[in-house]
Amino acid sequence: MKRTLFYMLLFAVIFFCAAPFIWQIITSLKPSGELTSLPPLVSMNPTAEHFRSVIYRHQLVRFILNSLIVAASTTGLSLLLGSLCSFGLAKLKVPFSSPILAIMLSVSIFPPIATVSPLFIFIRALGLRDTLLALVITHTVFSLPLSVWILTNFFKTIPDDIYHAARIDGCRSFHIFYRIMIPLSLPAIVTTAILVFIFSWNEFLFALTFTSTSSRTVPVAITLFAGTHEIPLGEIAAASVIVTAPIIILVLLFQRKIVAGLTSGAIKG
Amino acid sequence: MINKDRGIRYVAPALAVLLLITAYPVFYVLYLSLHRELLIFKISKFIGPDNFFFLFQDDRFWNALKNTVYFSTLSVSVELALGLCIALLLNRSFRLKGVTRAVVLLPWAIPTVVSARMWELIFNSDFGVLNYLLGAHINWLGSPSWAIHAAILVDIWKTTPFVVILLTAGLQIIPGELYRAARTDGAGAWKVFRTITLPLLLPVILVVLLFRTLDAFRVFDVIYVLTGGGPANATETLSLYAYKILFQTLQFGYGSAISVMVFVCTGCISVFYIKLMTGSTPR
Amino acid sequence: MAEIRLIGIQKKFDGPLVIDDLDLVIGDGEFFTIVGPSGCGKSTILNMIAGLDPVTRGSIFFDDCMVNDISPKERDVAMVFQNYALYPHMTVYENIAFPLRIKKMPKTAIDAEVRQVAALLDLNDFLRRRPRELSGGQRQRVALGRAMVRKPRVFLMDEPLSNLDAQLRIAMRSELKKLHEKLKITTVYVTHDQSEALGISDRIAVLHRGRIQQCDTPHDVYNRPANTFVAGFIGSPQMNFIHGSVSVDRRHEIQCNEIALTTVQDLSRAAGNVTIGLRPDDITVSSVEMRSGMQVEITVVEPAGAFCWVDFKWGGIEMRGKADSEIELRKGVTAYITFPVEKIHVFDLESGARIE
Repeated sequence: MKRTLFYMLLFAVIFFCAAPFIWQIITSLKPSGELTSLPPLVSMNPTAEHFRSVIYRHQLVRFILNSLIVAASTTGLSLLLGSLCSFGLAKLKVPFSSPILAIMLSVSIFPPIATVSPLFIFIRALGLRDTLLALVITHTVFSLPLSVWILTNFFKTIPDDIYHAARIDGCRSFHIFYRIMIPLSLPAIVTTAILVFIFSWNEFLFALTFTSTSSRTVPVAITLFAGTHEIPLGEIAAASVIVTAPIIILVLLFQRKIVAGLTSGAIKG
Repeated sequence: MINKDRGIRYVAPALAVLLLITAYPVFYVLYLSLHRELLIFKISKFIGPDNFFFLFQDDRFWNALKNTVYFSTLSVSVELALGLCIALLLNRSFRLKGVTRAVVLLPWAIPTVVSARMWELIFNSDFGVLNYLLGAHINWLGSPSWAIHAAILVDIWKTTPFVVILLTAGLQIIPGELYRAARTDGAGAWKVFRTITLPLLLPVILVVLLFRTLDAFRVFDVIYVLTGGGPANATETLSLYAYKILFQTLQFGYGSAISVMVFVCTGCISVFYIKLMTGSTPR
Repeated sequence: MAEIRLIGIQKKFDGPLVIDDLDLVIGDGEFFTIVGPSGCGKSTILNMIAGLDPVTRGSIFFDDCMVNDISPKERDVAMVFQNYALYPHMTVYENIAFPLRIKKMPKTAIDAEVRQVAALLDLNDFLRRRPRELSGGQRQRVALGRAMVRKPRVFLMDEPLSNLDAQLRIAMRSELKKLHEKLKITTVYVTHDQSEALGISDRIAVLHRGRIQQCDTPHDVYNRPANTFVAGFIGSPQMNFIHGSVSVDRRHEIQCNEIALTTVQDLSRAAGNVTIGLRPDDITVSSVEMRSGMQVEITVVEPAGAFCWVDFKWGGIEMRGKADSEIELRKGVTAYITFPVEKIHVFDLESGARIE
């Protein structure tokens, strides 16, 4: 009895989380004619017309490519800067290391809207409007607190004696960083990479303000999707499905790591 | 030389980039907020705190503040309550736990913009599936009283997973012996929850509240896509108002003044929660 | 191989001095142990010798070369850590080879060295495993191997045995001793375990509150402790301490518990109150009345196999002694104690320093 109730509740939770996705898939497969018909049920004549239209007429592939480039470069840069910084903070002597960490973390609570106007002027002045580089820079900076936080916490769990042993064995600090610390931290680095990638892939406000046409990312493209006469429901649904698919795969593969990353620090600190 | 690996060499690049892209804009936005700044006309004139005086008489600002507070309070409290229930539900071993956890994570992982688009379809007043299921004819996104709640619902759907993940992790670090001890002392389920689970979970709950409140307070994406602030500014939040003034009317001075207000508010919220945290968790 | 000299060493971190004005000479090829309770600063000394921590003041010499400003790499020391500090992502082979690879030694030479060390430590069967697949004792040997493979001038060991279980610890002690006899490399060994220190070392320094209390051979540290701290710290069970008083005119007599104890020491300069130290090992408890024996009341009997430890009260003073396990002793029973006069240690009451 209790067990049945448990599974009913569990099903309710799963349904609540998954239903909008399922509905999106159903809609994306409906022929245009059935989109506005009532009752809004599953179509008997599924079609791929919206997917074709999204890819060929709306250049979705290009926006996906933009998003991929931005998210991948952001992830790489953020990990590079973040891991170096975390190594310094966690294992070496740095003057004022705790205020530095505090400053870095406080950036994560900055409301983006409060910095978007000066950054816009800044980026315009540098001639970076409507470039992917503008997004890579801002995304890297705003993901740095996350990288530094997760990696510093992880580096701190590596015993100091391992660092000492490597120094005695004749390593210089940079050797220790890339021959000992980095291989030992691969799990944490993967976790950080996934979270930073998702952050950059999903980011909207900067992408909306800094890009206009050629360098739009997926979230902006989907937002500004407009048909000639009416809202292109089927195409929006198809685009959403295409954009969500990689994220779903990422989540299914790495859910354990994502959970670890999200909870790192929040639970301890 | 001993200890010649000065760590600052490793910290400096990240710190420099961070300060350049965040600290500098923060000061610049303060500077802008004290100016009449119209980019298209190349007007830039120091006017002191006039923007702020004007702000305090601006009904649209007060309306946006009210909407933001309403949005944050309602969404965060429902998310916390719902998240706690789901976390308690998942905090046991059952088959397919991994898959369940992945499904619960999904709404959090997809772009907010996409989730808003999904719900837009569901909310459609003429042929949306929600009205069909309810057998009602509610104008979800078109009527001022419903629209803000529709936005709140999307936010709840999108971010409850985050709350669930954090609370589940918090539940897992409570030692199982404590529950067994309480049970042997004769405490019922509710009593165990009140005296063991809740107090030990409190630090995590506060962290969740901090993150979520800050996030909700600067809400932008969902509302931008779902209603654009309408109808009749009923869903216009501070971030959205600032964005419109900045990038639709290009009044950088006044828009920056609104941004500064968002900044001040989030600052106050952080200080409040951090005070609460340091007060509630004696170490 | 090298002689190590520490001259006027001071060390402080943020607060007060951790090490205060330390002078120490560790001979070439010596097995030297620094022993003391936790927090006495013994690991700090080791880290300063290694070059991991700079000294605040003073100088460190390896032979005639001052090494204060020389990096650990160039000091040519090897260190074994309490938690082994093996690189978890490398195999046993890679762990041992690592210091040589850093030195950019040719591959074939590395291979030869690693295999030689592995054979010596009986690690040949584990070379392809990773540290987490090994037992504590095996990890310990890998850590030793990594230290040995470089043929360093100095071995530094920071409580290397304290994470092993009791039996293995005893076995590894004699392993270490044998290795040292074979390699004859100057070894500085840090431990909090006094029996380990007594068993393994050529010489011992007893450290307390950043100062060396005594630096001597194990035999002298045990038999002629320099002060009450050393006397209480070295030896198990702990030495008994009793108050006594010495009068000016009696040079070989202490008044204690209304009994006059005759001593071998000349006490003429210690007139006044003193502390008497007696090791439980040296006190024989018996149920038979002996002529010189003092009458005591038994409180606890703790069998230890071949003999018993006996807690008793001697005129209100709690003490501990040793009894033959054949003798029947029970709580509350009256018994008698004797001890050899030459085993009486006398310390100044104020300073705690030994009086001879």
